[in-house]
Amino acid sequence: MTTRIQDFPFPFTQDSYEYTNNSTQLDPPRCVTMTSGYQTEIQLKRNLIQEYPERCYRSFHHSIEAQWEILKLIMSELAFYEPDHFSFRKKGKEFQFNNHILEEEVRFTDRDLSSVDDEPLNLAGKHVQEDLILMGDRDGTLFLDAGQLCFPSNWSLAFVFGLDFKSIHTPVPRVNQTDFIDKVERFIKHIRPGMAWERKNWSVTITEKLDTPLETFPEWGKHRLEVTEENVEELLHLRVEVQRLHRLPQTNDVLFTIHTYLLSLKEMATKKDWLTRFFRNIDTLPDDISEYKGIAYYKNPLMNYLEKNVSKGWSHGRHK
Amino acid sequence: MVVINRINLNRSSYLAITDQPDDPRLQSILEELKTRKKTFQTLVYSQPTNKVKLKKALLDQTIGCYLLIGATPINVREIVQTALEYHFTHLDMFIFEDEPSVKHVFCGCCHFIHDNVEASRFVCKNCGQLIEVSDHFSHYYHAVLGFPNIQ
Repeated sequence: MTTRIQDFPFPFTQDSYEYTNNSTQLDPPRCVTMTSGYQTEIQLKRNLIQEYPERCYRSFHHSIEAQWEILKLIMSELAFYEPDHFSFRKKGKEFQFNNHILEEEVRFTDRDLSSVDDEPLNLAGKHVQEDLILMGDRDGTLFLDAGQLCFPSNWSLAFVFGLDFKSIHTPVPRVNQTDFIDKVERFIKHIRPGMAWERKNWSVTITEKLDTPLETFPEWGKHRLEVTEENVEELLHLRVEVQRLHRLPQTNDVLFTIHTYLLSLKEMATKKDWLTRFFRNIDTLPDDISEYKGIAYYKNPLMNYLEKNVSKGWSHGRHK
Repeated sequence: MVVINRINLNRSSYLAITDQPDDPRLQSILEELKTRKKTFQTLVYSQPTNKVKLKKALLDQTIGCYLLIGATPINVREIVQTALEYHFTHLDMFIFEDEPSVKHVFCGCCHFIHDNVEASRFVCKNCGQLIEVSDHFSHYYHAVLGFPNIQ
């Protein structure tokens, strides 16, 4: 499921790879974004949640208060920024949310679990394209207290459920050699209530599947071994996760939203400046990061393809 | 003393939860807590009858309580998961270590947990997937991640 090129958040701002926290503050502090793929992606999310509930949703009971805050925040935001598509009304403790795109109405009583069919975070996630992760902030650390995750890039919500921020990131290269992850956690902990920050995280994936969880890695991961110079243009996709962090004013927990976009190499090739910048970043990617992002399997056919296709407009050689 | 050095001794109170109350490691820690005039309780845990007692004991603790957990892997998992549900974090607990060469491995494909694994690569007995044992540890499962191998 690829993204229209005009919706695609191209992530590269420099001509070489840099290991950095590239966050920017959002004004207005929005948590979610709608794209033209809304209906298709919502249907896919709902199908996955129904078929694999244990894989796609986890929560601690003590996260419910923050979940209510997230539900109301997201519904308010949708109604405010997309008034043609959503409305949200409050009368006392009673709320009414209308999703005009899906022709659905949701009514609930504030903080009354018996008034909703799903837990609040799961309900909120069924109306937005983003994956939603709730990080509880206590004891000086962030903990993954709840999450709805349908479109992960090779990780398992079930496994990281309940973990602290640093433990979640154990597999990320260089985490243990530098204090990078401590800095990122400190950065998140200093986000003030009502503020939101955004970063773009990229990787390369095979096929146009948004749902690439660890649980099904043997099914989709094997295609990494099938990439050749002949099919690389069709198979490879640049995957960008627009990740947003929002400090919840009432509970002081952190909402982490992930909106995933895919762009095929073939489509990227229609924009020479994008293809060139992508080439330069892949070319300067350290081996450990290349391995982590899964690119090592097919780096040679990818680089050969990129060299051929960008060489017309670029006189410099490869970095290594 | 190796164990005692890794325990947070600055907490206000302690709750020992164990299915091996005679474990000398636990006994030595409780002696140390006595010496330091710390408040502590012991809950002898056996599945599944004590789950209700466990929940009550966790609920009764005051803020700052530290858990000392010594049990079989299955019981450790149940105790830790219940404690996390009751708002404790892994920073609030100490789990008596297993043999260093032995790991408990969570299958990344089917979520089955294999106890007491010594191999670095093996076939999951639940789903048949070849898995590589990683260092990625989950306090929640008291297990490391077994990453599916496709090669």
